[in-house]
Amino acid sequence: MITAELVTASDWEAGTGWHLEDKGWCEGDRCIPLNGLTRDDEGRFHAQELARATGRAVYAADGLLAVGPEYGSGTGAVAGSALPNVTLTDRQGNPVTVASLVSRRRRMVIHAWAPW
Amino acid sequence: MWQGLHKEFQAHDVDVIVIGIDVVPEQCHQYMDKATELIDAGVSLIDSTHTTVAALNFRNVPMALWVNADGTIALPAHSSPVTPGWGDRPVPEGLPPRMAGRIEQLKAGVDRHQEYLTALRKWVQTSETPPPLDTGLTEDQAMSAAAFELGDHFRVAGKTDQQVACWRAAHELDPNNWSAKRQAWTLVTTADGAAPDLIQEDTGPYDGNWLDDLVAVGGIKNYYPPTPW
Repeated sequence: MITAELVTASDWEAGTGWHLEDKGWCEGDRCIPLNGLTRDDEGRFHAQELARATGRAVYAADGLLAVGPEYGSGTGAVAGSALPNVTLTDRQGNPVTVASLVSRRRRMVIHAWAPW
Repeated sequence: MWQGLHKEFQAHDVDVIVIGIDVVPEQCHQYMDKATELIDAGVSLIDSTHTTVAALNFRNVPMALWVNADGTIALPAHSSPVTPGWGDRPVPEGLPPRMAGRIEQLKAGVDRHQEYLTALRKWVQTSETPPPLDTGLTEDQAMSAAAFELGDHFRVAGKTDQQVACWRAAHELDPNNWSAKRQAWTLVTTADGAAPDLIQEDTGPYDGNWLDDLVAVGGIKNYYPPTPW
């Protein structure tokens, strides 16, 4: 969740997995150049503009802005991509990250259900 | 059923990870407690923010994805029926009319659970996957996930008007995100302290309801996401 139209590089990195390098914003082997992206005097990026450039959807309301998943054919949790590192909880409410499950080095079937 | 599969798949070094999706995690507890074998194995989890809806494309239930030992996705999110559908079973007597109507809709669907189990067991035993689907989201679907997340932020903050506005937008942007719709509806129609309401008829500030929306999308054949087999 971002609380302003302007976002720092570290906030965007924490929320999306993209990271800022000299050559631009990068994720894996993909990079987008910085030219064309607006920055303010403190080096912050315009969140909507950065979202569009990195293929992420955003939704804004009441002064807050949520960054959605990546969109487009072949993006997101597709075959061959790394399992996103989401954090869930166990029965006791303790956080469990997907990365900790992957570290078992065993195949997994992840099944979703709901009580509703 | 998944408890049995978990035990069966252990011999092939495959774990079953079961994730209950609900913004009220306590609603998952009674079901998790019945599945003590999975709990003991440490593979029964709760997603109380719909993170997996956005990140893994679980826009309905039941859905699953298969993961290789190196953490890469072997088969993206897909419908995962492991138990028989309603098929020829009669609609139980005494159900509220709209619940009976929905079961009639479900009965009209094709029962794919045997095909699914065959494909799943084949992957478990041989690592052979079906042809993958392209499960990439559209911009509207991705924006719907963002709107749902923002709405849930407002729900937790007690800002109901903003929550409803965001969730209505989420529903409009992605009418086939049944996870977002049923979550919103059931919060309205479930009495305090009760188990989740499964009729979801008068959904208050939200448009639609489970049965009418199911009919609106063309019935059960369009309700579950496509499968690769």
